[in-house]
Amino acid sequence: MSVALNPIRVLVANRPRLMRDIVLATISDQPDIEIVGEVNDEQEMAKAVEDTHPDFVIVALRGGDKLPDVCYSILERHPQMRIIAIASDRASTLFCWTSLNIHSDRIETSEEGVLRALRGKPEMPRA
Amino acid sequence: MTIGDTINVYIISRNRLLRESLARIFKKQNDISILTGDALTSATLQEICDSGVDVVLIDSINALLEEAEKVRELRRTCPNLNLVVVCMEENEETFLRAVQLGVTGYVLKEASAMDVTAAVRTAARGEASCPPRLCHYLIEFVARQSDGLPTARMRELMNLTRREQLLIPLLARGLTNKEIAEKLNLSEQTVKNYVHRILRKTGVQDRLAAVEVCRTAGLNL
Repeated sequence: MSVALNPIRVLVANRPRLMRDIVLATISDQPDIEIVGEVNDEQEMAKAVEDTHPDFVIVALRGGDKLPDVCYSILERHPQMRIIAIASDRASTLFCWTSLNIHSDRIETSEEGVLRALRGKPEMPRA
Repeated sequence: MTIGDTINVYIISRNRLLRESLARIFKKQNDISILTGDALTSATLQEICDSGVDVVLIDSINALLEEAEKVRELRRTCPNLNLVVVCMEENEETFLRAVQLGVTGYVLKEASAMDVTAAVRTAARGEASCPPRLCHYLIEFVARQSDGLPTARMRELMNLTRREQLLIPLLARGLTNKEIAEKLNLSEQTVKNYVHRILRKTGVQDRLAAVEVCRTAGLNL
């Protein structure tokens, strides 16, 4: 498998563990995507962002479609970073935050949805 | 099921990402074949029965409990089928309700994909798996049962009249007195009296608790 020269750098930080494994299974075979880290909690996430400088962080969406609090401070410090938030308990919730308080519409939570979000495709399939 | 057999697994999840990725993870195992669906519909149940499925893996305990009647029907039709639930719910009573529905594999989402795979294989062998803490609760629950609810209370429960017993499943479904009255062609006041007597006989304060007492005592709800 050839590896892209400038792969998309992704930090996988979503919970629970099963959803993290699911996301890893979805993106780990992609030649243009590099998993720069995998963390289990929010404190680790903030540190890992500083250590690994990812292009994207994938997190779990909280109840009421909220991002984990730490994401807002990360976006403040790194406005160029993208955060993808995935709900594990619903059919169709995947948000892509592009900067503070600005985010894309809800799109379908699927392997294709995750990959399209990471590749910045504008024509993401809507739920 | 013997060593070397293929395990036919049916994944039910509303979350397409989970459905797709779990299917892909399972397909990498040489001994597992996969079908998927997004809900416990009648069509899904038919497909499960027709396809020789060994294990149904469902990612929502709520979906399972909401469709309890369909699940019971499924187990009656396919008695060798094994049910595995993957969920966030660590509540003991929810776990117990799942067990009473015939779930033999209970995996929390804090488990890894490998753990889920192992739970599927365990269920296919006709064995059970659940987190140790819930296993402990289950053992304690059974022990409490053999100690028995207070004997007098059990006797009272056995004294529920046929009509009172008929009301219990309707209470379990959350029907109001008015709805039960319409269903059984009774007056609302008569239903109220029945409910009052059921509460007295089961020794609890509310109708949901009465349902739980009856369920615990083995009434098929």
